[in-house]
Amino acid sequence: MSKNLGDLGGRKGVQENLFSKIGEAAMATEGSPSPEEMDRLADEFLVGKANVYGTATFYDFLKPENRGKKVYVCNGSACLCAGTQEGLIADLKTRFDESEIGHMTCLGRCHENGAFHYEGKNYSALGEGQLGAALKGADEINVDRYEICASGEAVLTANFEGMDAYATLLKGVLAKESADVLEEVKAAGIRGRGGAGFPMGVKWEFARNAESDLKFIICNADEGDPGAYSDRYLLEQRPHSVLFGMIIAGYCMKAQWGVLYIRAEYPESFPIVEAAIQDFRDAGLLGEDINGAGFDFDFKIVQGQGSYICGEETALISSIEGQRPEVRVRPPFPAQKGLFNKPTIVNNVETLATVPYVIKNGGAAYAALGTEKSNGTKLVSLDSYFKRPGIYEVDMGTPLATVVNDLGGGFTEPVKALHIGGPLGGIVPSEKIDELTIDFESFNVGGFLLGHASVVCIPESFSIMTYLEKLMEFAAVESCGKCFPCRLGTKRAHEMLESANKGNYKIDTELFDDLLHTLEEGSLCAHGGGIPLPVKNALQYFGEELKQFFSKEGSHV
Amino acid sequence: MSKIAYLNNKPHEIEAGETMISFARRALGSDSIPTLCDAPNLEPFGSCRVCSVDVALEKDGPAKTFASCHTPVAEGQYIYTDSKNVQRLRKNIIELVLTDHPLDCLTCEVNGNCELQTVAARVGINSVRYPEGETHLDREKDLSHPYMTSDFSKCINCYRCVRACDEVQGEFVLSMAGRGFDSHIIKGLDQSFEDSPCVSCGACSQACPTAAISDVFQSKSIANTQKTRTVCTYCGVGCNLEVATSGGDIKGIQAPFDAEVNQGHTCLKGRFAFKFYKHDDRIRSPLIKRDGVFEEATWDEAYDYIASRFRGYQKEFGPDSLAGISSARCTNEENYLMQKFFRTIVGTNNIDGCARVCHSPTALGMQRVFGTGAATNSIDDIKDTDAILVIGANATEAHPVTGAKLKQFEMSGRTSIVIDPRRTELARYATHHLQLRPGTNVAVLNMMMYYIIKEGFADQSFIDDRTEGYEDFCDALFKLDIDEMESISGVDRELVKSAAVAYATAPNAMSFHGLGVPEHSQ
Repeated sequence: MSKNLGDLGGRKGVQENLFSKIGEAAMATEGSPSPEEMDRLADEFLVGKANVYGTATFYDFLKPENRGKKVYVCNGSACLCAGTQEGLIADLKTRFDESEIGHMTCLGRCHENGAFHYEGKNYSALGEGQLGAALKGADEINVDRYEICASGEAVLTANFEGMDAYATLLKGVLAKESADVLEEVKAAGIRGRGGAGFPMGVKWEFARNAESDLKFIICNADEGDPGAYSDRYLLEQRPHSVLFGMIIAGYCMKAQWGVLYIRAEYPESFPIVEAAIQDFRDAGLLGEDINGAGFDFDFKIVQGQGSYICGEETALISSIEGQRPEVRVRPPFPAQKGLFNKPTIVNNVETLATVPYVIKNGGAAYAALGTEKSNGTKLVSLDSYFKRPGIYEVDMGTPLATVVNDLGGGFTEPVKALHIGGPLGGIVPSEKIDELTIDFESFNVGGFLLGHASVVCIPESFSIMTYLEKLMEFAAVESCGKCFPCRLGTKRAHEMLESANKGNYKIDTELFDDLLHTLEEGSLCAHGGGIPLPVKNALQYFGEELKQFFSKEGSHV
Repeated sequence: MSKIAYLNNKPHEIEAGETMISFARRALGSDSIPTLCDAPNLEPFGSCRVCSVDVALEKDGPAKTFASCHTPVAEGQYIYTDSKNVQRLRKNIIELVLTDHPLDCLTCEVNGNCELQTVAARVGINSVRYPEGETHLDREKDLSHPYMTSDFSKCINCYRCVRACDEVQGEFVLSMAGRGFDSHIIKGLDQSFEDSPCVSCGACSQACPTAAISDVFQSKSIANTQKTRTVCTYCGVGCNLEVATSGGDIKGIQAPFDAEVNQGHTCLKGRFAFKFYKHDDRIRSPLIKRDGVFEEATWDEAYDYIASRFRGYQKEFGPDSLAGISSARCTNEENYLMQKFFRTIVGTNNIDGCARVCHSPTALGMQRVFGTGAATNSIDDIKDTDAILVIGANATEAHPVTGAKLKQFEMSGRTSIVIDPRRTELARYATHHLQLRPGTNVAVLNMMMYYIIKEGFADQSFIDDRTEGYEDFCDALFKLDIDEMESISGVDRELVKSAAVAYATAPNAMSFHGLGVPEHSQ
């Protein structure tokens, strides 16, 4: 992280950010910016050519190797376990040159699989003869379908009552003191749904108390966890709730800008969110001195360019600034020095989408939902190994078994484990399903992680060693490379797993223990620090299956 | 009341805002915690994680591991700098580093002076257990540049060079490219040093803990053990230098971190442009001209000759028949001695320096206004000022170390006004660039003063207490025709006005001028 680069980026403001300009330059030159354009941008933003080049080469969809790619096949874990992608690639090879086929890591079509991206649209589970039609751009083939259901109170999945109702609600709240609104949000006790579980209202208060004439609220819509698509659901089906939440956040912390960082892998989200922003603008709820409350606020959408680490809040901030999205040290915390070194709050999509409910029903009503320590409801996304895949809203504290059996309808074939909470979440063996409830504490006590509560099934027939190998490959490929343990550790761990899985090598148990310890204790962020968890779960619960790959018997944990 | 935290169970006083590593270094010594990415003149970065320590809330209680370089210490913490857990972590991190580092220490340029080697020895690495994997050992050396060299097969990705180029020199020539295991240092658009916009300040080379970036002199080689501290004489900044010599030959020059003036930084000239000292064109001994021909002489002969001739003229024509001229290329101390010699030994005030050519208006003007013909601020005050005004100075070229500090100030976005006909590097980064016609400084400055007073930003109490003739001054100023000033200088009045207001409203402002101002008097 460079303070200078943050300040220099800030001179142009968020509307004219360097990152978006590099993205536009890449679009104009077949997927990667030309040296001349990088040179020009460096000059315009007063930064080094090396900075622009360093940024461009970081991202999957900006780096030189991306040039000429036409179709991107999903290589997320749900599609991997579903086994749909080899056949898809074979089909695509009959229509594209191999060099034109790239990959995207999780298109959020985990409920259908066989997912790929072509010319700004995602497709999944195409039937016989549909591939050709899709490549010709047939709109109806682009549409996916999944279950949406709330088992209890519908906080997030409630029907959108229309812009008029939202405008009335919002105007009402903007007539109140911002301090009182913040108290209401704090009373709700909403804990961040991105995985860390930090109370949202407390975060807002940090930023509110920070002295600055410019502040930002960022919506982290970089839902990179393979297997998760609940944020995509909210962006595409409840965008007004997310935007409403951001405006309230802006009002409470006195921010002028709401920035939505949406991943490129969700192309359908962009026009929908843009249209929703227009609804707020038409209702007179954006711009200067909104509702006569002396509150200026507007939105800016920034498109991701293919990097998992951008879901980490400090990397995301650096990304918008056009810096390399490498994780920053804390302090300073973003609430003190975030985007362009100004006070900034980063909230997850689902966290922000709870706000309309709190404003409408009061903080106490929300706090009454869920368990004592994990308030409210949680969206859970189920993949295609469930009989009824989809997005389910459950009260915190709902048994996992209820989600799996009653809501999801059970499995379509025998499943040995659930990978819950993304790649850094725990691998829950099937026999543990009955012991867990959907809340932060239950998962922690069980040695797992609720995370974003996405559920990817690992079927009986799928090798756990192959799953670990692919998981570690993902960790290595997506490591930002800043800290030594993660940059080197995930790479070496992947090499060891790959080599052992091929039968060329037996992993030195003690060395592997040391490596997991180094990642867990030494890494700068939760990427390197979190990846040992699923590996240790697998070693604990699938030791018998894995022991042939290790040099020594015994506990690995 | 002083606050206490514990290092290895012993209480020590902590200072507000300090990091754990600063605390430990202060209390236990500078080598108390090993690190690879931390450097004295760079911001905490947290990439190597070698400085990790265990932290508990009670004595020998359950501990969590933190990187000490960027974690603030808090009262009552129990910090363990060398626990078994931390030892294990450090050793395993270094082992990982060595899986992608050439094991050719004995033939390496920095053998014996390599931070990786030192840390590896300290944490006790005796073997690398990993199976053979991908490495970057085949990266090619870059020997394209007259001074800078790189061998990125030896790079450990600590980012110190990137940060030095950014935080110290402010040039952004270096960055990391790619990501994860593939991330690697680049220059410019992945060019050679020669083709990149490198300004050869050498900050990256000095920052590099291994031999990944060095210079053609191999300045980091341990063989050059004799070190002499001196002051650079290229410009007036006065950088401290540490000159490494061997057998009387200069082997390399580094900038000491404890130097107040330059804090571990210097420029191309100070660091690399020293080869003249032994150039064939230089005279090696005193020469005495006899019968129109220079003849070599010993120093004793030369001094005797000078003394006898000086004494002769002094006696025959009086001391004022003699004069001395000194040089700005000499140090302050040498110039002082020169004038002392002429005033007290020779007995004349006929002493001058080459700086008269450029700076007599400076000295006169400042003496009249401030009472002394010298700068009223120290360079260190840049840290405390809210606005700078730079006129007629191209500091990044002429005084690079101070220039770099001014550029750092400008990049923070604080008010910076550059008055210069050229779009200098400082003008490029300034919040206000008044690009006047050459020779029209007075017109622009008059306009600035006009707007400061007209807009009501003059400090009346200061004027009352400390100035005289203010009303006459105002009368003269208000008689000025702004249309005329605008047309003389070629600078838009609104631009001058906004600069004037920005300068006048800054709580603290500092102004800098270079030869672009006083040399107009000639």
